[in-house]
Parts: sequence; structure tokens; C-alpha cells
Amino acid sequence: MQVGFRQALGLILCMGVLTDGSALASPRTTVAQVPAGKTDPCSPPAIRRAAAQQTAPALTGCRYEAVAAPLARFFMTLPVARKTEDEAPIGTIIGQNPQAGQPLKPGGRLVLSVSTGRAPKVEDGTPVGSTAETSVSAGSVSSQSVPERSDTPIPQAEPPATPSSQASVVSPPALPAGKMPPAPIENAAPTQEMAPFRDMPTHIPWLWIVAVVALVLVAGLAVASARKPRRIRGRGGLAPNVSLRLTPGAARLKVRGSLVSGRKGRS
Amino acid sequence: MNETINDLLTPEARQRLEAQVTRAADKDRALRRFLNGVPLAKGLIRAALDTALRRDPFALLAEGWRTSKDIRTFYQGEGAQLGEPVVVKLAAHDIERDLTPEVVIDVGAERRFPLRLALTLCGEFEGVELSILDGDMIAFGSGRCHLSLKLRVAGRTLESLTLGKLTLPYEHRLTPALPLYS
Repeated sequence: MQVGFRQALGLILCMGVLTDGSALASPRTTVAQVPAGKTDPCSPPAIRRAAAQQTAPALTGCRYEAVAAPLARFFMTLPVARKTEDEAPIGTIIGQNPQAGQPLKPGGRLVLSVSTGRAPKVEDGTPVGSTAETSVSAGSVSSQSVPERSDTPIPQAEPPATPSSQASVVSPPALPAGKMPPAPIENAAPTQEMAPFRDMPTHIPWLWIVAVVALVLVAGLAVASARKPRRIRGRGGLAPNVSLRLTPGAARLKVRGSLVSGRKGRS
Repeated sequence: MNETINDLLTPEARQRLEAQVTRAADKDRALRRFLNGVPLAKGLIRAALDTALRRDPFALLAEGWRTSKDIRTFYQGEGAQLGEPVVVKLAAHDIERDLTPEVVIDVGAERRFPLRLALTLCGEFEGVELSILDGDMIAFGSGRCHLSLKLRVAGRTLESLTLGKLTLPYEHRLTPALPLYS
């Protein structure tokens, strides 16, 4: 049933793509019109192409802010903040699951590892980026959890491949702190509503939760019924009139011979 | 001589009778469920039993005389005038009468729970005289009587409670008078 739900969600997302003005009649048509091998893997057409092929797009090295909006159209992204020791700048996707090219249906879950950058050392030894790490660990990983830093070089990794994708490939301007990337479409709204739950475990045992809640409810009802004071039925709680009725039956008379033994006479 | 069955029962016999009636009431599932919701249910059964046994045992046993064909034949043969009593001397005889107990609970509507228990009132009479006036038995007396109460379940006697061996007075009035069966 869960697979069916995912397929339905993917279908709905694809329908949302179809209703978009920039999209064509079908994803295959879109794929056919986009020349393969010339698109930047971080560009929205590449992501759309991967979604049409039901594979995971190659996002390693991309800026999360640049791919967040197009990813939200096709997949359920779950970014995970990672502190790296290498030179990966802040906000760069350093890993993904499933890997690029692996099967991933539209609406599927795509876990992205986003770099929080390398915290520079200061004189007192307290890393400057600790604040960012704290906010990342406490809340969701998004553009506001990965603040722009002027000293961190932002790679211009996506050269424009095609004229059509040029406008969208350009990384969006730096958002002010506390703002999310622009909502791509209406279908992506549930993904952004799940932002507070991004740090929760990916597998939530809903069945167990429902079973436990039902068990608690049943137990509560049983206890309530057991503790329910037994009311005397009828007459608004007045004690009923209990009586024992002796219904006499027929009398049996046993006599040897005649019952009348003698005549006493009239008195 | 206006003693009831309840007065004639000894404390031990009453306790045994109450135990049997309570056990029979417990066997009725609907009655048991009802009484479990009523506080002091056992007390109610006990009180109801006391009330039910406050009956004149001789008035109950006189039904045997009232339906006796011999007495009726004798009285009709006497040809007594109106207002003229006739006294009949009876031979030794036994009279038994079954009393079927049922618990009646009145909660606005009356609901009856017949118990699987039968009380049989037994009287062994000897030398009893019966007074008949205008076709009605008005009194009896002058004899001896052995009263007992038997508890029966499915035709099997469980208990036999002796109520007493009584020497009847000269005249024991039956109130009201019992008409002879015709």
C-alpha cells in the first residue's frame, strides 16, 4: 500500500509538472527535447530528466540552494547536515542516497548530505561555525540553517549548458537569513511543511504508533467501564423491590381408607 | 395458635433454608447479574424469604380438606340447614402442598425469576375435627399435627425441616373461611 501511495504521489507530482507552463505535454517529450550530456547535473532540466527516467539525479557538488526548488518538484528531499574536513564549501551537497543513477521513483525519498563548511579557528579556540552547527542540529537544514558567509567561496559550478536552462541554472541570489527557497509549485508544499521533521528518523513506525494508541484507548475504556459505578436499574437509582413469592400448588391428600372417620354431628 | 411458617422454623432450619434459596437464586444467571448490581442483595433475598414464609401453614394445608371428595360428600349427606354448623371427625391423614418460590423484582415493571427449587409443606394430621358452616370450612382443632417443610430440586428431596409437632387447640379458626370445592 505504501508503494502505491508513492506511485500516486509521483504521478501527482508529474501532473504538477505537466500543468506547469514551461513543461511540455509529457516528461518523455521533455527529455527528448533536452540534449543529453549537455545539461549541467545541477540544473533543473537534469533533475527533471532524472525524474522522468526514475533515477536519482547526480547532485554531489551542487549547491543545495540551487537544487532545492527543482528537487522539491520531483522528490522528497531529506537534507542532512554534515561537517566536513575537506574543502567543500558550506551549502554544498557532498553526498546523496540513493546514489546518482540508481532507481528512484518520482516522489521518492532522496537523502542529501549538505556540508556545513569548515569552521575556522579563532584565538580562544571556539569555532565560529558552532552556532551554525547548533542551528543545523536543532532545526532543519535549509538555506537559513546554512548561512552565507562572505569569506567562503561559493563555486560557480554550473556553466549554462543550454539557453533554456540558463535562467534556472544560475544559482539564486543569496537569501536573507530566515527565508526558505521559493516554493516551486503547489505540489511541493507538503515537502516544505515537513521541514521541521527533517531531523526525525526517516523510518517512522506509524503502524506501531497507531497500534499503541489503539491499545491505550481500549485499555482506558476497559478501566473506565470497570470503574463505572453500577447503577441500580430503573426508577432513577432507587432500590428495586425484591420479594419472594411462594406460589402454592395443588394439595395432595393421602389417607388410608376413608377420610371421614366419624360423625361428630351438628353443633 | 396463629403461628406462621416463619415462626415455626428453628434458627438452624431457617439458615439451611436461606442457604438453599440463595443457592437456587445464584443459579439463575439473569437474576444473579441483577442482584450483583444491587447492594445487600443477599439481605434482600433473606428478607423476602422471611416475608414469604409469614403464612399460616394450616390455611395452606386446608386446601387438601377443601378439595376432598369425602368431606364434600359427607357434608352434602348431612343436609344441614343454613347457619347450622357441621363437625366432621377426620381419620389420620397426610396433606402435602407444593410452594413454588419465585423472586419478583419490581423496578417499575415486574420481573419474575422462578427458582429451581420447590418447597413442600407437609402435615400429618391425627384426630382432627373440621367445622363446616354453610359449605365453608370455618375451623378445625382437637388433634395433633406434625408439620415439616421439604426442599426439593428436580423431584429430589434435599432437606427436610421439621416445623414441629403441634397439639391443636380445640378450635383453630380459618380466616377467611374456605368454601368446599363443588
